[in-house]
Amino acid sequence: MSKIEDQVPGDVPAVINGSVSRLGRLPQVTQRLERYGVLFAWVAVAILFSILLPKTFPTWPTVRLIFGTQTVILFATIGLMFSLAVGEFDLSMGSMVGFGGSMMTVLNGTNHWPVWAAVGLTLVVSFLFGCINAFLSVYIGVQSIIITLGTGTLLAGLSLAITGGQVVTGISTSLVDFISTQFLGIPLPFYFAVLLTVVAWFILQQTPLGRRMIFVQENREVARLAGLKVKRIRAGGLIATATIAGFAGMVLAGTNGAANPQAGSYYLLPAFAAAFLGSTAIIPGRFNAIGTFVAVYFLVTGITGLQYLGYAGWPEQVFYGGSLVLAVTISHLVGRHQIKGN
Amino acid sequence: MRRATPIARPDAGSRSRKKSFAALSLTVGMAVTASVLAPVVSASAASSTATSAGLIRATAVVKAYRKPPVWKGPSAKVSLKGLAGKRVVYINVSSGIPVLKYWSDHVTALALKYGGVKVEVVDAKGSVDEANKGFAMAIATKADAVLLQAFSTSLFTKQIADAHAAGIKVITGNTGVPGDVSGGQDAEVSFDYAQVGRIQADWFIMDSKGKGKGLVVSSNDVPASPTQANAIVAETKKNCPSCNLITKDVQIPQWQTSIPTLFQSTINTDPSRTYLLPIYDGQSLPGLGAIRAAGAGSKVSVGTFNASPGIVESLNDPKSGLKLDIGGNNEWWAYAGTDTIFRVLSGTAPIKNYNIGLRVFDTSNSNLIKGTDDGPWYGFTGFRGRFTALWKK
Repeated sequence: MSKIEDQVPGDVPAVINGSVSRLGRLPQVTQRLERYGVLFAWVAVAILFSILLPKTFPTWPTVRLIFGTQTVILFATIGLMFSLAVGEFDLSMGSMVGFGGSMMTVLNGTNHWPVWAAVGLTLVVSFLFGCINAFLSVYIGVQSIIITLGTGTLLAGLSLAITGGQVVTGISTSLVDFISTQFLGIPLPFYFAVLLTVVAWFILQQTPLGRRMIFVQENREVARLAGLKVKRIRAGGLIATATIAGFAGMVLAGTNGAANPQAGSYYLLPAFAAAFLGSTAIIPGRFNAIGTFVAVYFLVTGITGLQYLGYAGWPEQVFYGGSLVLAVTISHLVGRHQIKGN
Repeated sequence: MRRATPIARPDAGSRSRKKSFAALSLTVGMAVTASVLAPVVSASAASSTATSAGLIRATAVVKAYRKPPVWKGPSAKVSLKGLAGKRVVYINVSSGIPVLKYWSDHVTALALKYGGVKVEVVDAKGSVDEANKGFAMAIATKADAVLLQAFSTSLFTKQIADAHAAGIKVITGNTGVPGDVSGGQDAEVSFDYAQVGRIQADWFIMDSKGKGKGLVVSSNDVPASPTQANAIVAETKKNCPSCNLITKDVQIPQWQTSIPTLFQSTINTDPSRTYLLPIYDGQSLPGLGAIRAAGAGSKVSVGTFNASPGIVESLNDPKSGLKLDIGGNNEWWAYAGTDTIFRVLSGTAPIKNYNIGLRVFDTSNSNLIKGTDDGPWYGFTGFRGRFTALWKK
């Protein structure tokens, strides 16, 4: 039997064991609208606020603000996307962000470890926590949403334990200065996040591994029967999420110059929202890197515009939640329409 | 020969009338302009005068609070006889918040050491339901008192009534106004958050020399937030009519994600609005990172409250933008909280305002911020002896 990847062309598999890509039979215009809807919405929002605020919004400081301040969300969301892409739910991601920042700061700031050692060990520990999530979810068989709920709570407690429940500081100035270094007025972490996005795109859309991940997410049992190493692929997704989340926590701590053990939990819902919104874009119905990037910055642009107009607090949450509900509902309706059309 | 038509020349009388008319018009115009401008000039002059006077007052306040705090606490003693063995259920809004854990830990230790009173801490994890369980537990186990920390009493009217019906006293902590028992509780022990807000405002006025434009960031999910935020606005209006403040509310779940963009968007939309006044330094932390990342540390000034170890050190980092972090002596609060427990359990009249020590930490005295123990920063530990002297065995 030929391997699945031999049957799957390009970046949008037209056929996977008989299931037809949703885009395959839609009219061209509808396809484009569904595929690039969030991108069009991003552009539309940017144009709208530029019209409403011609002197302040369409300016280089605004671009710097949008791309420079929400890098941690992009890291966290791209990391989360790996587990979602294989059908797993990692609710410990937020706590991992908090733990990663806390551990690095305690090692480097409080215990004066060299930066490379503190960062290295934190990445290793993040990786190991991902392995724990993977082992319990994939090999023992407990649903990942339950296991990661537990490990997330455990990590939150560990963060408080290692920091004494306090904000910890003392991070090496070399690290803080490095993270604050700007290129074209935007701090370096943004470019690392873009690089991660490109790597994620390449893996998911351009490699056999990526196609296997899609297959596993579409139908785990069929993938297993087809000979794919389903457990390894699922485990890999969870491990990638935890490792990248730990890295995001270190970026957060370096940006703030301090680690708040409770900070990570606030990234959980925004990351999930952005990941699901991203799955309605570029490759609708699939978690994908470019869609995630577009979704994150569509949301950031909208919230920034609202803040420029003087709104803060609840309007942002309404925009965040409303955008997600609208995009996912429209995407679902279009998909259902296509299925009925078949 | 035709005679030239004589050029008509205005006669002297006409010229005179025109001059008179011009003079009259000018006079009337000046009078009208003066009458229109006079109130404005007068107001501006009055405003300028008011601002100058206010600037002097504000400066005096900040200078006073730069010094170590002094004792302005109670002198009435309280008997600890019969308190040994009594139990207090201490419902903490969240033991995950460092300062709240600090308070509960210290009150637990002090109450046991000096009065033999056992304090059982319930971590409500931010949930009203969990706090309700704490009340239920207190009633079921016949506790002697409940201390409800940093929750709004409006959410617990029934629970407070039920506790009273069961003979249990209720104390609240840090709801905003010291001694405010309008929620039906028996005592309230709080920092003077209104005074904190006034100090923040006075620093803003002083630092901007009476010309500042600023953003106040409240967090109204915290009960004490409106008190402090309103005080900042009111004090600024009083002492600096020419200053300009706007207020935004960003609640705890959004601190991490919204504060960075809020800080930067404020500066982008109005580069002259250079004072950022979040009411808690925990709220400001993600914003300091954004200021550092934007290289705007020298352009903006952040003034806040709590002097949390780990955050207040940023006073020594010019890139962060942090210029003021007012400290409230947390150990002093723990002693005041313990004193309130003793008074309530013994039936002694509670103290309305302990005047818990506050100190301004800014760039002029940031050298005081050393180490992780914030006790020595305040330069006054006399409150310990003062309180223990009130507690009669």
